[in-house]
Amino acid sequence: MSGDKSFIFKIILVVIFVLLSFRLFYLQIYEDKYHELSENNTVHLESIYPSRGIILDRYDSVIVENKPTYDFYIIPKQFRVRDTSQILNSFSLTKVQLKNSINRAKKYSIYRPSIFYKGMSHSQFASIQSNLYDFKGIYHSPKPTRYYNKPILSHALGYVAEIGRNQLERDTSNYYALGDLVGLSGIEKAYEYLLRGNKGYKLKLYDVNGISAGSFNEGLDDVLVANGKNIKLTIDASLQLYIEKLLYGKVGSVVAIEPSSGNILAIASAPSYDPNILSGKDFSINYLGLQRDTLKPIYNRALMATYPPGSMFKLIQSLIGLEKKHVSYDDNVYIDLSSIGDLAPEGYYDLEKAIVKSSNNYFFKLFRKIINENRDSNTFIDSRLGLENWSNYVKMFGLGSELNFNISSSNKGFVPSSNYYDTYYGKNRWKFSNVYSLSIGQGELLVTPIQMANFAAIMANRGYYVYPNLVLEVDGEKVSNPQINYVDIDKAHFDYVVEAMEEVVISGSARRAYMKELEICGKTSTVQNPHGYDHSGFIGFAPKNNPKIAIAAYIENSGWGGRSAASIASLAAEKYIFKNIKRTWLEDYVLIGDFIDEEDKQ
Amino acid sequence: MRKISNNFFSNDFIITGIYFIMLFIGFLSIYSSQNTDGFDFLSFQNESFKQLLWITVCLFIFFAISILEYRFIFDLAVPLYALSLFLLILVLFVGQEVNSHSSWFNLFGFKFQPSEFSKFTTALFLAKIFDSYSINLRNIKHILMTSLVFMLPSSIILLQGDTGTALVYFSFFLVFLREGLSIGFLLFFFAFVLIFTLGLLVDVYILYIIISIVFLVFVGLSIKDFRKVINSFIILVLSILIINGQGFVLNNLLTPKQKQRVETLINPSSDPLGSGWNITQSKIAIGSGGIFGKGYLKGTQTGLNFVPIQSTDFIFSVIGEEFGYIGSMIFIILYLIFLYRILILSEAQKDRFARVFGYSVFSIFLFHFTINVSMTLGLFPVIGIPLSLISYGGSSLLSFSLLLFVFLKLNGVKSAILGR
Repeated sequence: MSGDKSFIFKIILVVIFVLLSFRLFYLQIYEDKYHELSENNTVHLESIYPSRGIILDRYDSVIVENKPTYDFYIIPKQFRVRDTSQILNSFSLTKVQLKNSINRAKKYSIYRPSIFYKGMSHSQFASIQSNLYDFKGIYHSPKPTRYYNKPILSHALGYVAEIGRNQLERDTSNYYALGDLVGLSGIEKAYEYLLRGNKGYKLKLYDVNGISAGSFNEGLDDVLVANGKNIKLTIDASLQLYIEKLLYGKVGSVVAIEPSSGNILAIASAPSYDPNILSGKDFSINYLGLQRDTLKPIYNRALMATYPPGSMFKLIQSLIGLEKKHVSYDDNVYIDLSSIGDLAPEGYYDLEKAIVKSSNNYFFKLFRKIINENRDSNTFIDSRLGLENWSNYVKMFGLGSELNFNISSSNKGFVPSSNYYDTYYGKNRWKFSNVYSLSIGQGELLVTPIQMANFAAIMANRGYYVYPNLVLEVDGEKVSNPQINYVDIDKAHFDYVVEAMEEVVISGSARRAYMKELEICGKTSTVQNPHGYDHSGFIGFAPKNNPKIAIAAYIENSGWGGRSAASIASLAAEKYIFKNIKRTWLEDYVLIGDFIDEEDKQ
Repeated sequence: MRKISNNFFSNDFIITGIYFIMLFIGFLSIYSSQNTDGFDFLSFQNESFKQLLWITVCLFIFFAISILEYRFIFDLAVPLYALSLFLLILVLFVGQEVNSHSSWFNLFGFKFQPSEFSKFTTALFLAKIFDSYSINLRNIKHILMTSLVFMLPSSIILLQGDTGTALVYFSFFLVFLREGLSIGFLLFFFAFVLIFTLGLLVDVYILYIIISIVFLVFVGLSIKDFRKVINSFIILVLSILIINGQGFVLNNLLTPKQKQRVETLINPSSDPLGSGWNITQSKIAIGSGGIFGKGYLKGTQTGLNFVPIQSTDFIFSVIGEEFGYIGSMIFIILYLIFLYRILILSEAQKDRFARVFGYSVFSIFLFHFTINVSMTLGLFPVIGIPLSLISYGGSSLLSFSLLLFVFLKLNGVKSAILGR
């Protein structure tokens, strides 16, 4: 056969012919199973929804769980009811509404199920369950819905809602179907793939009347449902609840971190909302309501709001000044009040006193030394070099970065660099006098509350931080968070500044935060706000040795940092460490929430 | 060089005839698969209407190629191949994802799949290489060089996540078989593919043990023949390299997403909707057709859209259900005649360029037809490739038509090119 080189291919064609014709014969003529299957029955693919993973706090108390609600489907071809009023009452519909929904379903298909009624609560379902038999062509399926037994942590948790058409089209995993629930923000979104589990599928036989005739192929082709994984958060639910209570009626946010691990103990943004209103069938109405609220309750201030850091930034300036040897521990200088507005008196200052009194003029002078190090005779070039150097130090504190926090979208804040001023003023057309407000944490600098909490943790750790994180365990398995970031500044300098922070609480601007039983270290900020009353800010940690909690608090439009922010942070520390509150007078002061002096109110 | 166009239409009535019959069957089947409630024929939502537009485009190409100069096709082989490689790489970066493959360009709402187009250019380029360099497939260097011609596009397509189309390129081995590749070598190649696949499924150390045992057995059997021992040793080293290289490819060269795709391929249960459902539905649809079928547009299974991706991968289930055993057999016989005719004509080519191209066309059509129909009959795992000329899809229809038209063109001028 060597003459015909196409011979082997002819053989291949014959083999294929034989193979296919036998297989077709088997399927179409010999085996009548398939014929019957199709003739008398139809196989439906039924989804079984997995139960979404529950979310716990660090002490295993449940924050988010599931409750069943029921969706109803209609197959118009099979739809038959004996008593119309019965169905109208059961679903609390009017005649017109019923007619409309049947027509809508018919428009889609008369054979295939369309949605008829969404998200019926379990109690309502129980009351109409006995009637369901009379409604032919109406099917129901239970669908787990999110339920929050404590209405806390709404911003960080995010919410779950039906997948939108756009998202469905963009989804490439082919997992979701219209009407499926999907996590849309916060932890629910970031951990969607773990929380959601995997849908199961049942192949069910139905006869021509649409009555279930058991499972197809004895259930061998079914796909088992896999429930979602449970997630254990780093959050302390009782602390979170307490902080949200303190924040009630105010605008601002509080973030508390366990310094040694970066675990977030509490993250609150006010005003807030009850997460239950975004679960279930009223989602759209409630979501729209939240969006239209002028106080923006849906906005996660802890991650998204940016403020100038204010006086607390003087701590960073002190550390940079010490590291760059522009000041030493026992330098004493005379400070007059000529350069910048100030609340501290004039006189002799060492660095500690400058921090405790929050002397603006002291830090004005220190910052000038940091910016103008005389590395170049041209003052413009010199400022440029100095600022770049300073900017790099500031970034080491995690400012201007998202801190690797991928749970939710967060704002980076802003640390100006020389390039920024080059574009703003023109190259070599700016110097210290253009940027001096940075010296006291004002000006172009912007930070978010979580960045400031992280900074508090850096102070607590005396020079390093672990990226803040929210998730402790997934289904009992620890989520590791080992990355430690060091600030390239001598630890001794941190020790020195921490001493000053303690003094701030004992005798300085944060005296309201003082507690005899707990060594709290902190620093207040009164952030200038051109639009209204100043914002009140505070960072701190406690106890001084072996710190357990680091906190940042920003309360908008409530005046001095020493009042609302310091009080709230101090109470949060007390709550976390002692579990209950002794200083009820301070608690009352915060809850009443009147922080502005009478003479300042205009 | 003479320009010959007058004998283009008349050169093979069987192929041209069946080609048009196939387009017609394809259109009818897609129409049937789309024919459900609320169906509007004249709409860009409707695939059968779009297919009709594509068929019209094919007719234009048919005439265009019939007046094209032969020399032109020959000269275009290299630039077209280069262009298709460029497009394949480009689509990796700017492509649109469809069914988790990033192999589509989206131009003004029309989707275009370069991996379909490159079948044609690869066939053309392969023919040119064989012809210009007098490739001798007894020479291992030549084998490697020519394999590269289709391995290159195939591997890029694999990166796009479209494993089915990537596999189509391996049908070029049939061309090699015709051009003198020994069957032994082919088996040798498949052994390595097997090792690579096993490496994904089985623990690496177990695989090492198995290979070592096989090696020792071979060495034991041929201990007296020094050359065989050396050969076995080389194969052992190659096998180990492949197993290790596979880990490298998976972990270093592929992005996590692509890696996951490879894993999904190996372990389909990670895809819950699974191909099991498709196959079950397709088998019920075809099986319920019986001897005579349910009649056109009367299919209940396909009509109610029980079979997913029915207008593309599972189009044969429409034919099986609505035309029964008799209709299906007529279809299969017609298709096999079509393939047989291409085979005969390819073999009859005097010119190596035309012959290699003809065999490429034969192999690609054979692969698509056999694998796709076997897929719907539950004889072969679902790898998601269309039934050539029948399935819905503009890119694939154009590509198959191009292959066929150019082959017909080459066939038409076979007597005239000797003076080239």
